Order: sequence, then structure tokens, then C-alpha cells
Amino acid sequence: MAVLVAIDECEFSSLRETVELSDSSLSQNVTTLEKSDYVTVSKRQVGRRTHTWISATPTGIAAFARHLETLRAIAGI
Amino acid sequence: MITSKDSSAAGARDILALAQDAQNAAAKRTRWFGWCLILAGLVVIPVTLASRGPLLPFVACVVVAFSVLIGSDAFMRSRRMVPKDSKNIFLIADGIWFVLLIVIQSLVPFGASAWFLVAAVVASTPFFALGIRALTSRSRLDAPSS
Repeated sequence: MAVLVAIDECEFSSLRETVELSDSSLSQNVTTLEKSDYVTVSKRQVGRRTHTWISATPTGIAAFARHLETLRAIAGI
Repeated sequence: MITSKDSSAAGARDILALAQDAQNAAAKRTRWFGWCLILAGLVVIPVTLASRGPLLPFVACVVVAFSVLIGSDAFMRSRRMVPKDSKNIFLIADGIWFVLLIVIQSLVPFGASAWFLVAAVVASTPFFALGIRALTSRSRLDAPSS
């Protein structure tokens, strides 16, 4: 979510390289976030290949902001 | 003695540091956007200069302004990570350049080529300013609050 709130949208493989997760692990995380309405997932056809694009929803951005506030309160920052 | 409160605080700090690292990595991957704006600024300078004479009338300037927008949009779609508000930023830069171009055309005398060169550079400053801002801005883990 830290990556997604800082950008408009990104392609799955690019997000995977940025957060250094495996395909399956990132896929599971994205599915969980999508079910919570924190991210939207869209498929786009580029030539013969289908690319998956992920972007944070306003609900996800707000939830991440709350999460950060809580972490800062715990950390005493 | 390490208490559970201390370990929680350390854990929270670790998570915040990881989130910051992730945002820094995202900022690195979207660095192309700043260069894209600067390149657009360099492209519009000769267009502004050409708009001085009958070579590039007002209608052609409108076409160029739209071409810059459409071209940048197509380029951004080809990238795998698109920075936040990139389309709006490009729209603002393009809009300001176009308004400045119209103002300059009406204010700067036709024969004053040196002044028009200065004016062309001034008109393209939104691209350079926003490009430099995109290149130099650092992520601060500031997610917008609800």
C-alpha cells in the first residue's frame, strides 16, 4: 500500500519488483486488499499479452493513512 | 530490560521504515516523469518560436498543445508505473504554456527575435519547473488523510 498510495497505478510485475515479493505472495496480498476495497485491479491487453494494473482506492488511501497514524503513535514519533 | 512496549515501538518503527523504503523505490521508478516534462519543455520552445511568424498560426498552436497532451498520455500509458497526478500535472503545464504563448504573441513585437526567444523560454517554464519538482521531490510517507 505504501507504493500504491504514492502513485496513480502500476503494473503487477513492476509492483512485484518494487516490493520484492514473489508472484504468488503479491497476488494473495492484492486479492486480500481488493476484497477490502483498498485497491482496484484491471486487466489490459497489450498486443497478445494481458497486463494487470493495480491502483489504490480512496478507501485504501484513507485506511493506509490511519494505519500510519497508529504506527506513529505506537512508535512515539 | 526490554519491555513489550519497547518491542512494539521498535516493530512499528521497522514497519514505517519499510514503508518509507517502498515509497523511495516507487519514487525511483517514476523518475522518468520529471525527465518527460523537461523534454516536453524543450520541445515546446521551438514551437513557441515558430508561432511568432505565419509559419505556425493560432490553430496550429492549438493542435501542438493537444498533440503534446495526447503524446504524453500515450507515453505514460506505455510506462509500468505512473506517478501520482501525472496527467493533471501535464495538463497544468500544457495549459499554462498555451496561455503564456497566447499572451506573449499579443505582447511581444513581431520583429523582436531576441525578446521572443526569452519569451519562448519563459512560456515553457511550467514544464521545467514541474519537471525539476518531480525529480527533486522526496517521498515523506505522507499518505493523504481522509
